[in-house]
This record gives sequence, C-alpha cells and structure tokens, in this order.
Amino acid sequence: MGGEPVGPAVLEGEIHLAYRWTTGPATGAFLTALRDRGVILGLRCPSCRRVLCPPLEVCPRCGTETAGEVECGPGGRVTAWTLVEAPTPWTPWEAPYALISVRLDGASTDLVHAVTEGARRVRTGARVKAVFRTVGRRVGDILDLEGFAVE
Amino acid sequence: MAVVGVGQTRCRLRREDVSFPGLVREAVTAALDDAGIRLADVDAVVFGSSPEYFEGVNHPEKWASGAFGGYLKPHMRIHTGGTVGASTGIAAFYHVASGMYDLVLAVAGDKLSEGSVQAGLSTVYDPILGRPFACGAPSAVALQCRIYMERSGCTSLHGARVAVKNRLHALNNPYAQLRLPDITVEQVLSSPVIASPLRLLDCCPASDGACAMVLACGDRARRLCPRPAWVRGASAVAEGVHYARREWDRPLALHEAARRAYAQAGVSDPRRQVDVAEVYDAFSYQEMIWYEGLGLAEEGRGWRLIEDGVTTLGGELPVNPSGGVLSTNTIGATAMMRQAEAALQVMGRAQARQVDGARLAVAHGWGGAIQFHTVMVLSSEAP
Repeated sequence: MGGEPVGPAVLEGEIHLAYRWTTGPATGAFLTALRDRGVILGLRCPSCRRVLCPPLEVCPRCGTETAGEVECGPGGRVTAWTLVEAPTPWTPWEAPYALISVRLDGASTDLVHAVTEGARRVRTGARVKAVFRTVGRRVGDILDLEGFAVE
Repeated sequence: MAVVGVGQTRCRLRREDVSFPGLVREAVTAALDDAGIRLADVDAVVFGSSPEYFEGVNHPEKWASGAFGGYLKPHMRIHTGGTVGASTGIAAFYHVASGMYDLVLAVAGDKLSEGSVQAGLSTVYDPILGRPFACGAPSAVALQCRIYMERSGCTSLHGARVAVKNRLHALNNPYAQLRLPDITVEQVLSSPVIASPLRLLDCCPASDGACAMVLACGDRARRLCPRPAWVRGASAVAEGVHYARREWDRPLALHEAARRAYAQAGVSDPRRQVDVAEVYDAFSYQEMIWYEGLGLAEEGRGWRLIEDGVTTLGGELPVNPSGGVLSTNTIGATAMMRQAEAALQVMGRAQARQVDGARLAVAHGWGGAIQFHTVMVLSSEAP
C-alpha cells in the first residue's frame, strides 16, 4: 500500500514458430542448380518468350506455366542500387552494404541481391559478376549465390 | 448470379511437389477449365487464405498474385480465419451482385504442413487474456461441445456416429484426404483423448489444398453453363470474441447469418426445403450444433438427425456427402469447399457423392473464436 499509483500493465511477449517451406518445382530447381552446379537458372515463358530469373512456376504477365530452363549470368548489369546504412537485425552483411537490382545476361527480368565486392563502386549500368559460396559449404538457399562483385 | 465452375486440388497431409503459389494455381486452372473460360476472360479476382502464422508467410497474396491471376486485374485478399474460404466466395458474389463485374474468380488455399497448425492457431488468441489458455482449436471447441452435450442430451455416441458417417462419405470423394474405410464407432470411442470430450477421431486432419470457383452474372451464367448453381442467398455475420453474451451451443452469429440468407432465398422451412447441406464440421459434435443453427433441426435436437440416419447419404437430408471437414481441412480453402460441393450438388455433378434430385443446398462456414459464421444458399433454379 502507499507509494505511486501504478498504471495498467504493459505485457511483453514473443512468438516462436518453426516452418518448412516447400520451394516447388521452379524455385526448387533454381536452388538445386545453385547448390550442386553453381549455376543460375531462369525459366522461359512460352507465351511472351521472356526468361524469368529468378524463375517462377507461372509467368505473372501471361498467366502461362513456364517451361524450358535457361542458364543466366554469371555476369549482369546493375539496373538499380542502394547503399544500406540502417540494416535489420537479421541482415547477413555489415552496413554499409549495397543492394542491387541486376539483369543477368540471358534474363528478361531483374533479380534483387547484394554486392559483396566493390560496393563503393556500384552504379546503374555497372557490370557485375556472381560470387558463389565455396563448394562443400552450399546448403540450397538463395545465399549459395553469395552476392555480386562489381567489375 | 451463379457459380459456373469449381476447381479443387486433391488434398494431402503434405504436398511437397508444389509451392504455395503453385498449389493455388492448380485450383485456379481446374476452375477455369470447369467453367470453360481462360484467365483473360476473368474480370476480377478475390483471394483468401488463413492467418499468416499457419504457414509462416506474411501477406501471401503478394507472393501468390502472379500465380492466381491477380496480375493487372481488380484484386483483393479476404481474411476471416476458418471462415475465409466462404467469405472469399461471398466477396466474389458481392463483386458480381454489385453489377461491376460479370465474371469473377474466387480462390483460397493453404499449405498447413509448412508450419505447426495448433501452435499457429494459438497465436490468434487474445495476447492479454487468452494466450496462456490456448491449445489450438480443440480446447475451445471442447468447451462448446461440453455445453451442447449437457444442455441437449447429446452423448459421445452421437459424436462418434458423425465421425464415422463423414469418413465413410469421404470414400466417395476423390478430393478428400482421409481414407478410413474400416472406421467404426468403437474405434472413435477408443481413440486417444485430445481435449475431452474430443477424441482424435472426433477431430479433422490438417491438409494442404486449395479451392476456386468462377461466379458469373445471370446472362453470362446461362451462356457458359447448362445448369449453373444459382446463389440465392449469402450472409457472413460476426459476433465478439468474449463470452458475456455468447451461447456456444446456439451461436447468435450463425442464427443471424442463416436468417438473412434464407430470407434472401425465400426459404421459410429449411428442414423441408433444403435437399443437402455442407457444414463446417471441424469437430464431430459441431455438426449437430450447426444443424440447429441452420434450422435443419429443432433446438437441442440436432443429435436426433444422427440417431435417425437422416443426414447420411441416402437419408432424407444428407449432410456433408463430401466427407466434410472431418476428412479434409486446409482451413484457408475449407469453407469454400463447402460452397463448391454444395454447388456441384445442385448442378447435378457431384458424381458418386451426388444426392439424388438435389435442387436446394446450403453451405456453412465458421471461423475465429467460433464467432464468424457464413451461410450460402444455392439452387438449381434461377431467381
């Protein structure tokens, strides 16, 4: 009794849940090719003939199922970039790091990824080249493609 | 307004052959083929899925819109927990009924195998007063079933008979997940207790699956389909989450949804007029509670329909000839599957699970803390 009046309590909590996400045939093949062969795959839309990279099961523009794997890159050209100074707690790179939108050679769409070498030299139109995780350390996720080196 | 095409995926405990967008796409392709149209013919798309924690993808319409046909079309997502599939179908109906669109695609789905469903479900409980008591869906529904049993005289034998009836019905449905041809009442009554009075076989499974429907305005429906399923009434009603004014064995939201949908459809005596019902029987006892809420049985007497075999396929008023939710539960698509199955019945296309001469069907859904209810009335006859 006595002392300062206490306001309504604020309750703190967290939610921890585990998941297993099915990658599906298109993205699954993309991740498998990265892990096992160090190759970046695109998929062609039979309607508009564009090569989607990263590949999707359905071409969003045409609504058509994609078919026909195409190897893209490892080189490409930067179509947009940003230097990130304020990362989130789960960002795998130390700030500042560069995120780029990259049109890989042979692809018709852009892939968003990070620059791991030469971030300070990144510009729209700059040539970049894919850097892969060392063989033996690849796990089948998107970071088996570690990032891009600015040429 | 009418349903002119339906598509369902075959539902399984885990579909590892396909991603979430790919699964949704399967149902869309099946519904478009069934309606005899192409995606380009669709004027608008309504997409539904259950709470994000179930499969761990926040904002799933962002991920899947390209696969379900949302690209450069009027498009929205619907989200009302377990009711969502039915709310999605009703939202598509509103799109057509508004006169703004002639041909609308409704699609809903979930891949429950990607996360832990009951843990995910527990996150929907109120974080301040509810979370410590959350044990997924069974603990809340067990309380509802206890109330119903003590007030009505329904016994565990009636629950077990619902559990057996719907699993045997599922054997006629190629899209259903559970296949239990040898199930018996004794098996149900000796299966492990999950939360009393609910035993394992009183509970639905968790499924990966999707469902889609194409709805059309009257003119288009007549041109596209020789025998469309006319939507004669539809209502989605909510009540609150706390229980001061709630009666779990007589859900006011269900009574109100049924009253509205039947009034729109001109149904005055549902017990006599309805030929077949698809209800959201996530747990066996609930089916009898829904009979009463839908006016298919007198208050407190739902279990009599089970005792008298009225709701078995071949009976006077078959309920869940598809096998119902007790045989397949994707959550996201489940309540739309009730509408799609009801549509197939009045279209005369339900194959081995067809109810002879079905002309008027009712489809029900529930979600949230048993607080959202949907009722759709479908007929072989145009208004």
